[in-house]
Amino acid sequence: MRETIEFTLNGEPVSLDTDGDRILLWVLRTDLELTGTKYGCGIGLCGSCTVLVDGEAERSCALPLRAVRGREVVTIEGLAGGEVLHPLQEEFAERGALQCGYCTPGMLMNAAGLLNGNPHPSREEIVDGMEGNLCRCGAHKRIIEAIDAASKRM
Amino acid sequence: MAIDTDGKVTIWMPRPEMGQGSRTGLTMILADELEADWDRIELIQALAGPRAVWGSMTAGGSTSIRQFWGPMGDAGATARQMLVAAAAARWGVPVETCRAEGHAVHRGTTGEKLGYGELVEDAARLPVPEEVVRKDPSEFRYIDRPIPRLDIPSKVDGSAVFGFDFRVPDMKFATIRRCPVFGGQLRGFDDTETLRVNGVEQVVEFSEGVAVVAGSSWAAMKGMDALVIDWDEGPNAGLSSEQIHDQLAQAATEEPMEAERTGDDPRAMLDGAAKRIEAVYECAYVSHSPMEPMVATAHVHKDSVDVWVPTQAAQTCQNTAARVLDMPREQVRIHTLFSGGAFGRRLQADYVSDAVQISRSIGGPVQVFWTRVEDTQHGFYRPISRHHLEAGFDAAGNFTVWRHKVVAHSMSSRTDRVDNSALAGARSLSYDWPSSLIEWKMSNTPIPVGAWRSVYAAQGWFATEGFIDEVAAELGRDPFEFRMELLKDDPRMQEVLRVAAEAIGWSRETPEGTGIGIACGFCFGGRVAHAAEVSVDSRHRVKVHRIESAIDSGWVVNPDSVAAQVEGGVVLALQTVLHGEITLRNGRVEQETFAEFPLVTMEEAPLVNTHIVKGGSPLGGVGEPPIPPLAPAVVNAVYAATGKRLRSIPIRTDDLR
Ligand code: FES
Ligand code: FES
Repeated sequence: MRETIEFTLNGEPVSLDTDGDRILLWVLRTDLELTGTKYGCGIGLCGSCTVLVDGEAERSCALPLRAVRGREVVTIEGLAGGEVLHPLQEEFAERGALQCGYCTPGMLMNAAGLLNGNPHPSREEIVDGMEGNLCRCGAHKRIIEAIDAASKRM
Repeated sequence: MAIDTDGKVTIWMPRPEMGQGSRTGLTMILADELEADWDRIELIQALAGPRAVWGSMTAGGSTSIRQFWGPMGDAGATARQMLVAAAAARWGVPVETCRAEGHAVHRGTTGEKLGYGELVEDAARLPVPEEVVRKDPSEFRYIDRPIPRLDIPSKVDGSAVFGFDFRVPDMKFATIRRCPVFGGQLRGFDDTETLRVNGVEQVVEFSEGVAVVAGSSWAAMKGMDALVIDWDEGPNAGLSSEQIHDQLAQAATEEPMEAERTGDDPRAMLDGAAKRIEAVYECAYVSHSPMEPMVATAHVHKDSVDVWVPTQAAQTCQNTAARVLDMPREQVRIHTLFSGGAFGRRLQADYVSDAVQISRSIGGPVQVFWTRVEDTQHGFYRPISRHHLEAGFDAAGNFTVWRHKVVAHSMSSRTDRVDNSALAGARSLSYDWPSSLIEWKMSNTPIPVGAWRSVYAAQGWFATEGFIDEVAAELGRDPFEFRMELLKDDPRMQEVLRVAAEAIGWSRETPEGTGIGIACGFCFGGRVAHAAEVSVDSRHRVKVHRIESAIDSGWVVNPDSVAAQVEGGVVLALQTVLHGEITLRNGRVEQETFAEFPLVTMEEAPLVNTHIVKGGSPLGGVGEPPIPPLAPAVVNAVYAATGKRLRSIPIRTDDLR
């Protein structure tokens, strides 16, 4: 069913006239041409598609568009403040916390959500908070270290 | 390569970037020889081209740095020599009085200099020097330093273009389905419901199955869910993992081919042994499962085609598209994109074949993507294998003979000779066996198999290194010391073992329920030893806490990339120990997603410390060598912790009860 759905995306208002059952991941990637948010499994198992909704990490492959009506969505493209990278992005880059980089947007957004809720997590809390984000290349150790370092700087 | 009059250097990159860092490493080699400033270099991924021009463009066998150390360095050095000659001519001084440094040529000690941009037009008119003069390693400014990878910035801000992210105007999106049973084919379909799905445009057949073409990926997937497909399941519809297991077990009882024999007649030694021990090691099928499923975008024009694809093998893609479309190879433009992981899966061009066929059918550009389920169920899996090992001892208790029989699916499928590549990790080892017999028995199945990071080496070394531990235990020897003794002819392997053992604190006592294990391996030009510290809890769950890794791949271009490859290799290999198994029922893969084929999570990932051992020349591989010793190091540590031998990967909790 077509309906008008308005929400904030990376700080800008958007209004879409579309079927509210459609999945946010694909609306972002196709209609809004923001391809930074990745498809890894489509059923909530890998975290590649993670975005922030009102500051919390959510899996965009499991969110109908209707669910973000009136809310604030941030994708990897909006994580940096303009030209200035987010400390998480800086630490991931600095520490080479990625290989292929396909899981990286989801890792960063999930970590951003984690730090929003708990700005100074312990190492165990970081591991726990990132448990649902999968990386096939095995950048695990550096990802945890990068998040730890970013949290200490923030 | 090119230099423009502003001094900007452009490099056409022959090899792809999958995250292993080779584009950066290759740039370092060229830039170092050129004496170029790092931030004035731009990379362009080369289109697939003839081997005569580019050599092999395939990233496989841990070869990118090894094979292009020569050409990339020569290109940089040649350009540098020409720039220096141009400057010398301009100044009217002998070439020897000029030197290149920091993107400019300097005149003696006068402080006078000319930038590369100012010199390039003159330099381009000079003859290409016949003798290439490479730098002395002491003058390297980038090589052997941890240079940040060039692909990283675009990968942390979401702008990197992977296969799924590529867009051309007016392109359609299509998802495909192949027959779930290997060897089956499409009989027909009913697309009534599919065509009712908003956004779906058409349903097309191609050689391997059926595709739903739509205006968006989502619509294509919805349409596929609604498609009623009638498959002719073919001859393998009843195939199960149990049958395959039995087939290999049966093959193991049949006469093998002798692959290698050393020392006194090993058969006689076995027959005459006062004591023999034997064991069977087994490895399961494993899927590559890169985070980005298979995808390719194709646009077939009247007499040419463009394909934008994450691939390890651009020339294979080119050949495949040319064959499928019956088009001259020169008319096939393969644009290589970033791969969201590959591990050997993207050496295959099956998904390129799909994409060009579908583009031809619909007469326009289309992105053909696989779902996670399709990706899991239509891989080219790491071959299943079965290893029969035997060791003999004389009456005085001395170790006298080693035997390793490998039963596996052969990728070469030759029945007339031994498949030596399938015996990696079993034959041609540097262990100085008292006598040995290595045997081969092919046992092929209808399951598609392919190179999975380290190919056969992981399976062979798993069995070898597991069983050496058993022999050491039988002899009452320390497994580290025992290896060191047998490796007296391979001091470089001894050194990686020694470094790993020292880093883990080999001889210390460990608490109840924990243990330390060690293993080594050699493949694709690199030697690696891993020492593992594990614990096993009261519910028999294995936790790997720490891996100390020593790697000797000769000279090092980018030490940070080497460490990253070791860390990543440990995690990838650990998945094959803890979870990674593809099983068959009714001719189809049972696993669909990460629920049934779980990856290693953050909690499961061990701490990995990499120790680079610079054993000297030549330049060896880095990507694959960290894989083989990981599984045996872990099971050997489990033995140290529990006294139980795990001889089959993935391990099962039940095996520890
Ligand atoms: S794509 Fe959303 S969790 Fe995997
Ligand atoms: S970096 Fe490749 S999946 Fe994480």
